[in-house]
Amino acid sequence: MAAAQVEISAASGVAEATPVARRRRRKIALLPVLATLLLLAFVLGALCANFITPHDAIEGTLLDRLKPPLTSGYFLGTDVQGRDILTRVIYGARVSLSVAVITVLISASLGSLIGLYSGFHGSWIDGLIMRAVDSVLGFPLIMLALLFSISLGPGFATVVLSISLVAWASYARVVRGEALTLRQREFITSARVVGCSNHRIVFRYLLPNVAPTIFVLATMQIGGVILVEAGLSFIGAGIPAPTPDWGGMVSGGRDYISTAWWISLWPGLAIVLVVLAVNTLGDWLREVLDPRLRQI
Amino acid sequence: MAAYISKRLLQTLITLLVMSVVVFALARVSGDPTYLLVNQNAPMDDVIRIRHVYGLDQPLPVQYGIYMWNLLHGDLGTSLRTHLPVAQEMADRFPSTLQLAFITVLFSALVGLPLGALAAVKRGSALDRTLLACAAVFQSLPGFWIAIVGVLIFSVGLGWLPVAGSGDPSHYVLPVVSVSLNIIAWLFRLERSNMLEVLALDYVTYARVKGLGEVAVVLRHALPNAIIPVITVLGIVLGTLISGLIVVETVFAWPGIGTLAQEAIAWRDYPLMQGWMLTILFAVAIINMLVDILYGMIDPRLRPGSA
Repeated sequence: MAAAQVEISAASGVAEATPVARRRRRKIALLPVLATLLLLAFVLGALCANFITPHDAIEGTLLDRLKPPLTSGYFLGTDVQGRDILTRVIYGARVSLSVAVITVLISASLGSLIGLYSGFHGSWIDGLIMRAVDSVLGFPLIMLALLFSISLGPGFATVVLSISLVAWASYARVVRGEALTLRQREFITSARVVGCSNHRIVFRYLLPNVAPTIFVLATMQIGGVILVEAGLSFIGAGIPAPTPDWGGMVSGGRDYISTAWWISLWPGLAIVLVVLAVNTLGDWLREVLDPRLRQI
Repeated sequence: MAAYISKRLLQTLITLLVMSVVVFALARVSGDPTYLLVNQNAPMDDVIRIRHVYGLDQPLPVQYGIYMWNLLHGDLGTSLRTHLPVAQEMADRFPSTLQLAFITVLFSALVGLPLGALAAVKRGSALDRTLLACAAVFQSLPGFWIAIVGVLIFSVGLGWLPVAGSGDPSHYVLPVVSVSLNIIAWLFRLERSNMLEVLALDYVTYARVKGLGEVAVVLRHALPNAIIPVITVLGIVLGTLISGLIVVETVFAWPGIGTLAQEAIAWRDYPLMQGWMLTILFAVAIINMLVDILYGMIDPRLRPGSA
């Protein structure tokens, strides 16, 4: 307990804003706005893909294959099968964003529950759970995903399952740490004295206090999940073709890199923009909600 | 120290044992391997004979026993495709993956850590802000895409670097750099926040009060303590890379275990897959052990017997 308190006070000592830092933070608040706008554009694109583009994302026009960008009707060019790349990039946002959001929702709720339970109850269960968390975090995600895509068949659910199976552990670790320190605080003791059940204490007293932390972690994880999903699709263990997926599209253009660079370039750029926007938002949220999470 | 090392060795042995069970279970979960060995339409007699030869007609605990016995004798089975011992295939390919992983970690640490410390010392300056912005961008780059764009610019466009393969040092540039960018960003941010924390501690203030110059305070007093926690992280990065390199190995046709695993998947070569999983898990367990021992040597507080 004492050690944990020392840790927190040391960290908040660092977080104490110097005048310079405070001025800087106010100026930088422009970035999160830009990031939000960019992200909104992608979300809107993903939601309304059918209405935005006249092209089909799966069936191409073979006569128009490998057209360079700025060809009339094909702003970003076409791929080997004559499919409009802009259309596929817009549809690709659907896959990337929904995999990311669903994975983060699953792993955040599961991991936080386990973390709350583990930190609140302590004893040998806590030790056991933390051991499990350590080994899960050390388990190679790519290997798990490859194995699942072979045994369960590649697809949306397989990707979500394999990433979630690893991703919950970081929530469990952080939330458990917070729950452990909160447990000793007076308001928890008084809740217990008043006669609250464990269930009530965990959900009405602990959860609201760790919620900002969970929220920040989740935002920061979305970018990571998008990158992992794209990587998995790139090596063929993610979303299978012909579904438009950014990682898969980059991979599809690999063999044409010297003649048709645009096939791989644009979907990769889309990944970079979305991840950058989400990470910028995450950094800003962390700064505002929970300066203690700086190191993560 | 000897007690600490032997305790850690024992822990690693237990981990390896657990890992062997996990790999065995995972390989079986992915389905009965019989029909990977014989044709779907093979006569029943052949199926029964194959099942017997490979021990697949035995109960699972017995199968695990056979597998463990072979494992302890360095026998990981035979590749279904090349008919070479899996252990030999792995031993042939593992060094080039390890080498690439090692160089990547070294490069990332040499770039990320000094810059992180520098940014912390110059906190709030233009330099700090520029580096933070760079880190934010680097963190958002998918390695496989950077690899492809790198090939496009430096191999296809400028002709400076080879497109793929391994050999002389120029073959390392693109694979190492494309994987490193993410890691550099991560190490930079970690070291920056470690350093900020250490710089705010009393002993650093004391060193300043004592009249030491800023350079001595940073290099002699703050930096060593801000570097130590990173050692564990470097171990984790190295462990992750051994499996994670599969993505760039594919792009550059790097002759490592990643491309071997891709072939194994394509051919449904399950002994090879199993061998790949075992190699990675064992390598990670051993790296973790070495990192912990190293940590114990550097930081005496971690050894047993000290408070």
